[in-house]
Amino acid sequence: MAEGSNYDFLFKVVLIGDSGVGKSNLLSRFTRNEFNLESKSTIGVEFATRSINVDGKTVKAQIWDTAGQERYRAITSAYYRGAVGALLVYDIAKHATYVNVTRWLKELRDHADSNIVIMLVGNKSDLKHLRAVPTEEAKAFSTENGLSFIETSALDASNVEAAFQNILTDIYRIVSSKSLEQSADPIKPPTETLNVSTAEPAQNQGGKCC
Amino acid sequence: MMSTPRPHVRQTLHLSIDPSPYEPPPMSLSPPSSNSPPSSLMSSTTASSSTADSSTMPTATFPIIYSVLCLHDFDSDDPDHLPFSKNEILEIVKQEESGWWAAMRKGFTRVGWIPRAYVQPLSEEMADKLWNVREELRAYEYSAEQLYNTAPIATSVQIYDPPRRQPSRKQSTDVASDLWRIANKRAREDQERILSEDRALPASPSMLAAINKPTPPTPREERHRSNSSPSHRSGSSRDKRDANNVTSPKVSVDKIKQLTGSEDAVDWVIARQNSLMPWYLRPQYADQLRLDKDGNIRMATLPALVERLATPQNTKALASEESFRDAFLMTFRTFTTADTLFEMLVDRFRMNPPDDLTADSQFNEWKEKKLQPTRNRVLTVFTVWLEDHRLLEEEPHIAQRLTDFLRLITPPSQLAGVANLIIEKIQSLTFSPPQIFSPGTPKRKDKNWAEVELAKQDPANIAEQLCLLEFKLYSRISPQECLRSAKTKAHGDIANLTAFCATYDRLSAWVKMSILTSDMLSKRASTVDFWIKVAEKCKQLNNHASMSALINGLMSTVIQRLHLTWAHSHRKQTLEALVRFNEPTGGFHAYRTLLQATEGPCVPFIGMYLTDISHIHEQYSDETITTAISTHSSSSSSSLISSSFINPTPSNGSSKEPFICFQKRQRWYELISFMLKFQKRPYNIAESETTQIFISNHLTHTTSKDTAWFWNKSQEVQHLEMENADIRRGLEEAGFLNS
Repeated sequence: MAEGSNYDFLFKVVLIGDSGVGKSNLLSRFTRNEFNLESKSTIGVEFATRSINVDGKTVKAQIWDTAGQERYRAITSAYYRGAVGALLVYDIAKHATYVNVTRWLKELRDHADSNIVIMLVGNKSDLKHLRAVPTEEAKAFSTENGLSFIETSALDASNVEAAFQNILTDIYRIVSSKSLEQSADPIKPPTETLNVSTAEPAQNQGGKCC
Repeated sequence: MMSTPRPHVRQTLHLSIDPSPYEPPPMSLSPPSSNSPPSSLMSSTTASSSTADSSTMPTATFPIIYSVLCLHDFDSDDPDHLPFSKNEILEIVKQEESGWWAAMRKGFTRVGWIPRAYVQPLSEEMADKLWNVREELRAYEYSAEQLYNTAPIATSVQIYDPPRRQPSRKQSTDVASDLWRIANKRAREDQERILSEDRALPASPSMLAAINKPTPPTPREERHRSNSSPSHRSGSSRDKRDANNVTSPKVSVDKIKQLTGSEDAVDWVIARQNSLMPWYLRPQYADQLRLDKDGNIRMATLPALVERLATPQNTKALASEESFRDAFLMTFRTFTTADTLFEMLVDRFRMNPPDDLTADSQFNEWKEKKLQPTRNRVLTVFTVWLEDHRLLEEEPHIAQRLTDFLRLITPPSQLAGVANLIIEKIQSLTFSPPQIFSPGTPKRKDKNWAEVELAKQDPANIAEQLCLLEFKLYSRISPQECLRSAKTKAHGDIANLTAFCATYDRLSAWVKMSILTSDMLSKRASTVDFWIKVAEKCKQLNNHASMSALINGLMSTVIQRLHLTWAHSHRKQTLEALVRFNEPTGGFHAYRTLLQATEGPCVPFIGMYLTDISHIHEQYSDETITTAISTHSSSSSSSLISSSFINPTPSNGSSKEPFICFQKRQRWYELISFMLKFQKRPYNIAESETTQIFISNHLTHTTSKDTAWFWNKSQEVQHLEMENADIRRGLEEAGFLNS
């Protein structure tokens, strides 16, 4: 694709989470509804991109939406390759989608670069009266697992901008301080922080891979 | 068939065909008169003409206006006609309002008349592209290109080819299903004949009783003709005819200028025609339709859509009308219910004459030009809904209501026969469900593969049987399920879609499991190679679903980390060539490209289409439209102008009806049609019962393991490999191994 060189950094960010939590919605808000659905030829939907400014540098975000493919549990792993950030979205009005966050985290830890920056996003904060996941609980969970956390509403657009801005800034900070280890091998055992409610603590002994 | 004499009706037209694409009488343009046979219209080099069918058509200097792609075979014995076959590209030198266009083959000088409805105008760019495509693939390539064009173009190609349109499949030996198919077709033809005897061609969306001039055939008739006689004529006879008919180019420039109409003029004429139409014939809800510049519906209220559906249109594009009907019938459940639609259609069928008709003549005209065509049309819609859009599967209770309604149509109504046919159709469909997807070949009895271990299996056999398994699952997916998948809330059942996707995961898990449970390095390596062979074979068989799942398993972290295993694999390169099809880059660009080029039986991987479906859902929102309309009613949007032009009288419908974004549905329809288009082409592979058992046992078995198991097992194996590597190294150093 015609990527102009008008950016300083290009970050790949994946959008994951259960079906129906509003991933595409967030994306269309953030990219101002500029899906490349319009693209003429056979390419189909491109990942959406948008550039933002961090510390005077232009950071271009490529956001890969997995919406609609949640039924393929296996497929998302293909999306993780080369991703430096992940927005893990759940629906604050549907507790099941929050419970599944554990599964998604596990998958990320299994398949993505161990340095990937993860942000937990509680979407649909406009549905206050239907809230099923208390903000405090999610916040505590995030701290415990080393994630950043934000609640958004794609409907009234609140915090959508901030969510992306935050994660891209975080990534930028990491990249500019020490460049992300471009280890060819993304495999690391799950870290100890993955102590989540129902799931048994992940096994964490076992050698770093060669 | 023609009653009103018209001075300029061409004598050269002998086809007795019912009026089809309605073209208004030319205003400033005069078609060839009987004294000037069309064959005298020859390429002249000086005249310049331009055509301006919206923006898609390039303007060129006479003689060649633009190229067209032939979508159907056209056979004719008329020396003035230019017979052609599907997929040819012809060059148009003149367009005529009647729907007959003058065309020639590239590099030839013979010009002949061709029916417009058989061809698709191409942009210059597209024509160039298609010239480079193998001839037999052109129509396919064209429709594929169209799919991804944003705005539905003026005449969109029929992509979703409902079962009725397929010729009875030779490869299927299932007699029962063939019989069903034939019976099905015959009933349909009977019905069409009856309807056309009523002077109304039901399936052709564009007709007006007022037409009294010969119009070119449409592909539908062509199908009928080719059904009755083998349509393959020998190439040599055609060449001969071509040679006989080379006439010398000689025609006056002025004449051509006069004759050649621009599409703009046609638009204007239609609009004007509409506004000149007596008020009691005009569409009631036309002001609730918003069209794009190509005349496709952007958004509309439900009554307006149903009115459109039930009214024969006088638009130019037959194909776009059919596409509208199919898109509507596939997607209406996303904005209304089957019951509401049924009632609205019945209401249209039983519509009352307007209250203020003043004369009997008005009443008669209303009856003839509005009521009758609408009634024909309503019955056609019911038929299409029944046959192609799963009425019985999706809403069986409507079938009963429909039968009750049809029973009330009794003689002397001319439609009684048709109504009866539909009732019979309902019954036959109810009692003998179509077995379209029955395996083409009888089951194969062979070695008891179920007992054999994986490594001893034949990869080709596994791949073939996977094809059958996946195809079965794929063919069960209904368009409704795909649409439901886009909804945030789970409306109804999507079991078949889920089953298809779940098989992907299971297959992928099977790959991982079989490798991880192989206890020796060499065994693991050969298992890896085995699966790569199967993946390769799946690719050859166009079973992309399995191919992708196998690659997914092989490329998963738990397998990729087994470096020693991979070092002993012999087919790593083969896998590397396949991996790109699993790359999500550019919305699975590499895979989409592969799919574009795929012909014949295929089980596609549909993951990215599911994303497309939800993106379309996101991009075209019904809510924003409603607000957009309220704010923009005073703006000078071209669509508003055009729609108000078509119907200057305000409708009596209240503006409270919400607008439905039909564009969104149109895009869904196109996408889902493409996604499911391979459902109609089953594999011609014999089913091996024992292999099927073997596969399904293993697939079921995978569900017993969760991701943690894979992770732990993989770690364990990796450890072993590393320990063994140390031992190996020690042995090597001691000189026990030479490798």
